[in-house]
Amino acid sequence: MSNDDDMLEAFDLSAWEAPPPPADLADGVIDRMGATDEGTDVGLAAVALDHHRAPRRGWIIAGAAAATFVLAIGVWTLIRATHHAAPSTGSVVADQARTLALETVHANLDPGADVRWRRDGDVLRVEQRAGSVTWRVDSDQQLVIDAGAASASVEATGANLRVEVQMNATDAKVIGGAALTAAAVAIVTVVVYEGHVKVGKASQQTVVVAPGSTYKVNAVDDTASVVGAGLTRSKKVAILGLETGGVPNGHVPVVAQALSSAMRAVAANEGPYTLAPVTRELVDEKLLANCATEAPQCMSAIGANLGADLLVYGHLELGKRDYTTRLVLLDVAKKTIERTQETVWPIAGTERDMIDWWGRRFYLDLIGVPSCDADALKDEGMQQINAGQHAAALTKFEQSLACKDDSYVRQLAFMESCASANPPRAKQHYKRLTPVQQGKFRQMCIRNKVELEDPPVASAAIDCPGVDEVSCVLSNYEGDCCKKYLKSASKPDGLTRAQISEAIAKVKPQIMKCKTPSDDKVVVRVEVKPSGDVTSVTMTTSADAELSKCVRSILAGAKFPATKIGGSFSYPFVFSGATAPAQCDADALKEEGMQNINMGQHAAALTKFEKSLACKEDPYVTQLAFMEACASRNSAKAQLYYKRMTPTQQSKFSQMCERENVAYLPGEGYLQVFSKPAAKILVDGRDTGMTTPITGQQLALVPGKHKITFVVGDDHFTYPVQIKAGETLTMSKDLQ
Amino acid sequence: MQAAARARSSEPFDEVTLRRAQRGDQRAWRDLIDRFQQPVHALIWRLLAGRARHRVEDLTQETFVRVLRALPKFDPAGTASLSTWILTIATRMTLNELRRPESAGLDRELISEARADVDAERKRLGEAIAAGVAALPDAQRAVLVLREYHDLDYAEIAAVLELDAGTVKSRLSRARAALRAHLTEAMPELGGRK
Repeated sequence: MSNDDDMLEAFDLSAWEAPPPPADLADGVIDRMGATDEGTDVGLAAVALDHHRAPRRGWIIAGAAAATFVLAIGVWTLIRATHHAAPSTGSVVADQARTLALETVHANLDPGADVRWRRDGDVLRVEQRAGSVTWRVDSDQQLVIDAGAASASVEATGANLRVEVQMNATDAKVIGGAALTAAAVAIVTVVVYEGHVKVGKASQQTVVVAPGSTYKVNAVDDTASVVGAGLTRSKKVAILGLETGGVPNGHVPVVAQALSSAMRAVAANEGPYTLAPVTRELVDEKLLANCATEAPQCMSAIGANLGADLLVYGHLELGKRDYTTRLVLLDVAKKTIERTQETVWPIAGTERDMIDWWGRRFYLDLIGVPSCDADALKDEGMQQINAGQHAAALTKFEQSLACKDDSYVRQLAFMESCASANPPRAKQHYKRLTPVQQGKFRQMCIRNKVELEDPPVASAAIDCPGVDEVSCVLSNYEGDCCKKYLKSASKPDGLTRAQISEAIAKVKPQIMKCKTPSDDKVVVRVEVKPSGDVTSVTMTTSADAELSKCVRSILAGAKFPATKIGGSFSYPFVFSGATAPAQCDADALKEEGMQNINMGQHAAALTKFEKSLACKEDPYVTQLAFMEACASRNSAKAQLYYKRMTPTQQSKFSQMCERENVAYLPGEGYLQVFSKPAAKILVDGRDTGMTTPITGQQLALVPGKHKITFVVGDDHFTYPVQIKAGETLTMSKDLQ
Repeated sequence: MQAAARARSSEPFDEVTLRRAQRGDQRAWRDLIDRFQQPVHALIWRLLAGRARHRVEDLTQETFVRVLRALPKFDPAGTASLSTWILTIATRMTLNELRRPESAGLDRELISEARADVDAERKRLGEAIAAGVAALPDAQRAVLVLREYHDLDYAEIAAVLELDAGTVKSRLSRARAALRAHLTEAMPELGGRK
C-alpha cells in the first residue's frame, strides 16, 4: 500500500496473539436472539439503546417506556421492510405496450422497449437498452437509468419523464460487428414532464433538465443538445454573502460566510441556474451602491453590476436559541422580488455538515426545487444506528427534523444524542420532548452518562446561547440574558480617556460642520454629571461667536457613560475657515477609492477615503473607510473608523471586520499558541498563515468565542477559546 | 507484514448461507458466527488493548446480535464486504466502549494467557507489541489494528472509521512510527533486522 508498510517489517506482529473466542459464543448470541422478537428488525433499536448493558441479565428488562419506543421503531422498520417487498431484479422486452409496477416506480413501456432493473436500497437501477418508456418515480425513490448502452445516464426523483433510446440505422450499417450493439444505439432523448431530473453523458457535464424540456444525447457524434424550451441553466444567479444581525457574537459572521459558501456550492452543481462567479457580500454591495434599503430597484442595480439575471441575498440573525435566515430571490431585469423565504433553525445546526445541508436546503427551496425528504433522511438515520454510527444517525435525524418536524424523530434524535455522547445536542433535543417523553426517555442519556442538567452557573449559557459578557457590553446590556452581567458591571469612579474619546467621536462630525470665517482652534471645557449628561460647556479660548454657539449647543447634547462621580475635561477642535481655498475634491477622492475597491486594492482605497474624509467629513465615506480598513486587515484604522460610526452603523458594519477576523474594538485580545509537533493554525476555519509557536501579539483576535484548529498533516484538532478584550490567552497542546 | 498475522480469511462467506441467515435461519446464523467469531473477538480484544477486558466477551456477543438483527438489510452487492461490515460494527462498538470513563483503567493483561507455552523471545515480543499498541491513542490503535491484523485497505479503514483516506494514512504512519520506536527500544536486538 505504501512504503510505510515496511516500517514494522523487523517485528513479527503476530507474536501479539489474541485469545480464541469462547466456545459457547454462538450459543450465547442465539440465546439472546431468541429472547426477543426473532426474525424482525425490532431489536435493532433495542441494541442501539442498550448496547452497554450486561448481555444475559438485561436483555428483556427494559422498562415499559423503552419497550414502547422499541416497538414503535420495530413497527416502523417493519413497514419499511415490507415497503420494498417486490422482486429486486428483473427484465422485460415488451412485444406490446405494457405497464410495469416496480413498487414506487411505474413504467409504461412502448412495444420494443428492452428494460432490465435491479433494486439497490431506495435506488432502482435500470438499464434501458432500447425502445421508449415513460417513467414515474415517487419523491422517496431514486431512479437511475443507464440508457442506450451507457450513452446517457438519467437520474430522477419525484419525477415524470420519458426516455427514448433509438438505434441510428446509418451508423449501424457502417459500424457493424461486435461493436454494433453499443455503437448503434446512438440517440437518447429525455423528455421531462415534471420533477427533478439530471442527465449525464460520459464525456460531458451532468445537466439538470427542467420540466417541459427535452434533452437529446447523440452517442456517435458525442453531442448533446436541448430540444424545446426549458433547459434553464443559461440564467445566471449571483449569491451575495449574508448580512448578519441579532445578538452580537463573533461566530455569526463565520456561520454566515459558511452558509453563503454552501449555497454557492449547491448553485454551482444543482438547480436550473448557472452560478455567477462572484463572492461579494450584501453589506458591502449595499454600501458601495449607496443603497440605504434593499429596495428591488437598488438591489437590481447591484445584480446587473455583477452580471446576474437573478440575485440571491439575505440576512442571518442570531436569536436566543435559534438562527433566523431571511432570503430573497430577485429578478434583476424585471426588478421584482420573485420569492422570499424566512427560516428559523437551531443553533445546533451550525456544525459543518449541517451548515452545508442547510445551505442546500435554503437555496433549493428559494428557487423552488424540492430539497429534502424527511422520511428518507429518517430511514438513513435508522441505517446509521444499525451500523453503530450514532453521530451520523443524529445528523440524519436532525436533517429530517429540519425538513419536517416529527415527534417520533425528535425522540430518535434525542436517543442518538445520548448514544453519541453529545451533551449539548442531548440537552437541546431533551427540551423539545414533551414532559411525558422526557420522563420516559431520559434514562437513555443517564445510561450513557450524558448529563441533561447543567450546574446552575452554566444554565445561563444554555438559555442564552451566544451571549457572553463581551456581547452584552456591545449591546448595552440589552435583554434578559445580559442582566447578570449588568449587575456585575460596576460603574467606574470617573470618566476615562477612552470614554471621553468615544463620546466626542460621536458628535465630532457635527461639530466640524460648524461654520467659521477663518481657520480656528477652539478648546472647550466640558463638565459631565454622574448620569453621563453634560452639565456645562465653556470655551477656554476666544473664538468666533457663531462658532462657539454652534460647538456649545452640540456638546451640550452629547451623552457620556454613567460613572460614580462624573467628570470634566478639556478638548480641542481645529476648524478650517470657509474662506480657505479648496485644497482637495472629496468626491473625486471617494470615486478613486471606489475604483481601488473594484481592483481589489483595499489599502489604496482606504488611503483615498481617508484623504476624502480629511477634505470633507462624510458619514458614508467613514463607513467606506471602515470597510476598507477591515478588508486591508488594518486593525488600527478599523478601530479608528469604528469609533466614528453611530451605534447603528457599528452594529451593521462590524461584520466586515469580523469575517476578516480583524480586531476593530478598542482592546482586542491576543492568543499565544504552542503545540508539539508544530502545527498550522486556523481560526474559525480560516487559515491564519501562521505556524506554532505563535507568541506575543502576533495573533490578535476579536473578543469573543473562537475555534482554534491545529493542523498536523491531514489531522485537524479543534479547540474552543474565549478571547477577552485586552487580555492575552495562551494555549498549549500536545498533539502527538 | 507477516502472512501469519492475518486474522482475516480472504474467502467470501458462502452466498446461500448468507441468504439463509438473512431470512433468520438459526443454522445459518451459527455458521456465520463460527466463520467470523475469531476475527471479531480478536479485533475487540486488541482494540481494548488491556482496557475493560471483562467486556470483550460481552462486546463480541453484542456485535453478533447486532449483525444478525441488521443482516436482512445487508446488501451483498453493496460497497462493503460482509466481513468489513461486521468489523465495522465491532469497531464502532469497541470505540464507543473505550469512550466510557469506566473503560479507562488498564487491566495490564495485555497478552493472551492461552499462549504461555510460546518461546521466551516471542513472548517478550508479544508483550512489547501489546504495551506499544496499548500506549497508542485509541484512534491510532484502531487504524493500526485494522490494517496490520485484519488486512483492511485504506479505503475500507476510512469507511469503518468514517475518516478520509488521508487521515487514515497519516494516523497509520504515526501509529507505526510510534510502535516501531517502542519496539526498537524494548527489543533492540530486533530493531535492526530486515
